[in-house]
Amino acid sequence: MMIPIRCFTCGAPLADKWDEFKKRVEAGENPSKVLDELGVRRYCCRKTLISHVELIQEIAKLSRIS
Amino acid sequence: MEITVLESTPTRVRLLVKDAPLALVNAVRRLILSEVPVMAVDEVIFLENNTAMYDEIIAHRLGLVPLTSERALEKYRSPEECAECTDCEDCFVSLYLDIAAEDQPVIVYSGDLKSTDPDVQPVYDNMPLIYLAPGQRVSLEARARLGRGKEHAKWSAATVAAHKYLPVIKFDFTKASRETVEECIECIEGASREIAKKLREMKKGEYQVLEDVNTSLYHYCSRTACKDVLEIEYRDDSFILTIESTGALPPKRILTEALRILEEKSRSLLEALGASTGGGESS
Amino acid sequence: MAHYKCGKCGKEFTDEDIKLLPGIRCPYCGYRVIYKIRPSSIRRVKAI
Repeated sequence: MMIPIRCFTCGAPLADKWDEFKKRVEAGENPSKVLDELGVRRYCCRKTLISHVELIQEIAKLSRIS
Repeated sequence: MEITVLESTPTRVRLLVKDAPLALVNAVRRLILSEVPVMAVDEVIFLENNTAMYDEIIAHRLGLVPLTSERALEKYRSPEECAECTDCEDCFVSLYLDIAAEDQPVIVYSGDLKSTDPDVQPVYDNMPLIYLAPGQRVSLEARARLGRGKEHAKWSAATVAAHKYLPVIKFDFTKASRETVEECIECIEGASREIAKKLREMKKGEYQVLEDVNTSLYHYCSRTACKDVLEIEYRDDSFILTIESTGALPPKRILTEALRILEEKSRSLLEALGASTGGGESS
Repeated sequence: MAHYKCGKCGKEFTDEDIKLLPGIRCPYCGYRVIYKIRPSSIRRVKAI
């Protein structure tokens, strides 16, 4: 839904890197290079950032009734 | 025992610990993960939440946000004392959040949390926490307290605390033919250029691998590729201890805190054994 | 006491009112889609 605050596997904080990661990858940079520069070295953290799909904007449209 | 700092950054430290027993290094590693206290959100009081995320999801996300804890260790009661108290006035910090989205969506960041204590703040202020669609509002009070990693991983001061034996490459390029040596070095370059360069310069001897590389690959060298030329050994009285912090405490503080806890625990064990004075001295 | 809202007429009622009619229905219009309203009281949630 939203980017996980921490890596599921190792517990390293990830959410603080998300905005920059997203911005740079959308600008056309190589995700691998961006992750290296952000200091994300383990593959558990890398897969969490790479495979994340931000769906919250879609879900938030279905607001609550009450 | 001799300790050398191999690498030191604000969140990561690597130490070479020489002539130490495995039990001691492992005890320190375990204490770092499960006993060093840090601040984290324990309970969230929701006054209003009509966002797409359930209260529980938001509470969980708030719990995982690392909070600066260096001063808090002296200021607030320890987790054990807090578990016994009833009024709980001096044990927790409140972080307030009250944000409404009017006609534009709003992303709530960790930096929007307003702490009652400037010493306890989110370490990173750019973590997206909650998404508010137009018309949605969230208002809450998050209560943070000291806790230990054994209770919940969010209270763990370190994300990584690991030790390994010191790898040593024993090699002799003078014995082998030129082609074999070139092939061998080329192969090592695939794992680490630095190491390959140093081995080429040394030609013969023992090389301690202090670089942060995976040495499992050298087993392939010693068993198949560069047989008789190169061998990898692990020195079992020396360790490389890696500590990576969440940001709540600097890695050096985590280590000193772990050692203090180890001392405390050892002392209470000796006392329990009735040997607090006289014999039974341990270092 | 749980509060509910009718999906058609929008009137609010409680779980006691639902029992007036057999099955789950709005006691005002008989519509069978009802929503639960978030209670106005504050909620304490453990951050686990």
